[in-house]
Amino acid sequence: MKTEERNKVKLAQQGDADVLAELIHEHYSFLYKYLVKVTMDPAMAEDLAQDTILRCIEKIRLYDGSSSFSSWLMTMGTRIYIDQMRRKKREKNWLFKERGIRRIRWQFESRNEEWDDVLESLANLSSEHRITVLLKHYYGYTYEEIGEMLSIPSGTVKSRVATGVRQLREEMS
Amino acid sequence: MDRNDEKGTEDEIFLTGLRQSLDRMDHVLDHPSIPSKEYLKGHIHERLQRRRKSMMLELLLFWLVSLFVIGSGALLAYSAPWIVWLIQGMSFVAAFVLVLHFIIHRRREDLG
Repeated sequence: MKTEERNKVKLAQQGDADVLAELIHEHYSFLYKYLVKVTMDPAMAEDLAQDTILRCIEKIRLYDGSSSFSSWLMTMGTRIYIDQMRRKKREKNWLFKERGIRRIRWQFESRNEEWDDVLESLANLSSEHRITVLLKHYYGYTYEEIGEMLSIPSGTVKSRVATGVRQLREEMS
Repeated sequence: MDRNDEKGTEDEIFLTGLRQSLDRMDHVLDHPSIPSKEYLKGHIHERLQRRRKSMMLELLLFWLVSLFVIGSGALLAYSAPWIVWLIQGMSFVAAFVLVLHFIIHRRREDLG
């Protein structure tokens, strides 16, 4: 973590609301974009980003600085998403999934960009495989770091990543 | 090049494509409506104040309940000591039964 960021976190933990607001403001866009990739639904990502910010305000004192502030936000956001999925069993409802993908596709089309097969396959992956593939191959975390983020053994992460990549490639071929 | 190397290269090509598509997605997506710093400050102040209030309330309730428990315990100990011993004894027996139950349950799970 950068020294400047560490100092800001320290001040925020001591109750400086201005600095905490600044930290959240700086990281909001990054968090939102990560959550869109995880959920494949911009509206759900926005809700999750707000829930994550609320949890961040409540738990800032518990942040130990062992990872970067953005990684900490990503961890909280991912855990909230997984909890919501478990509770609401939303993923089983294909309508929710379809609606989210349609929203992203619409944004692609409105900018004359092509929605390619890779993104379609990624959207069709189960959320547990999508999250691990993203964290490993897009954000560059190690298996151990992902395991800590998701509270699962690194062996499970490794197998989920391998299965996820295999499924993506199978769907593409 | 053996089969493993070939598969590794193919995977790498595929993953590069995936990263490019995701980068493109970042550019295409509408920018989120980021809450302004002022709004966030106000919100944080409000949350912190609410938390402080609820903590004070919890502390007050804790002290009230503690006083009640200690007061009734002391009253009971002075007026009818045998009841205190009865409660102590029953708690001990209940704890013993619970521990025994968990040990038996765990052994059965290990065997099964």
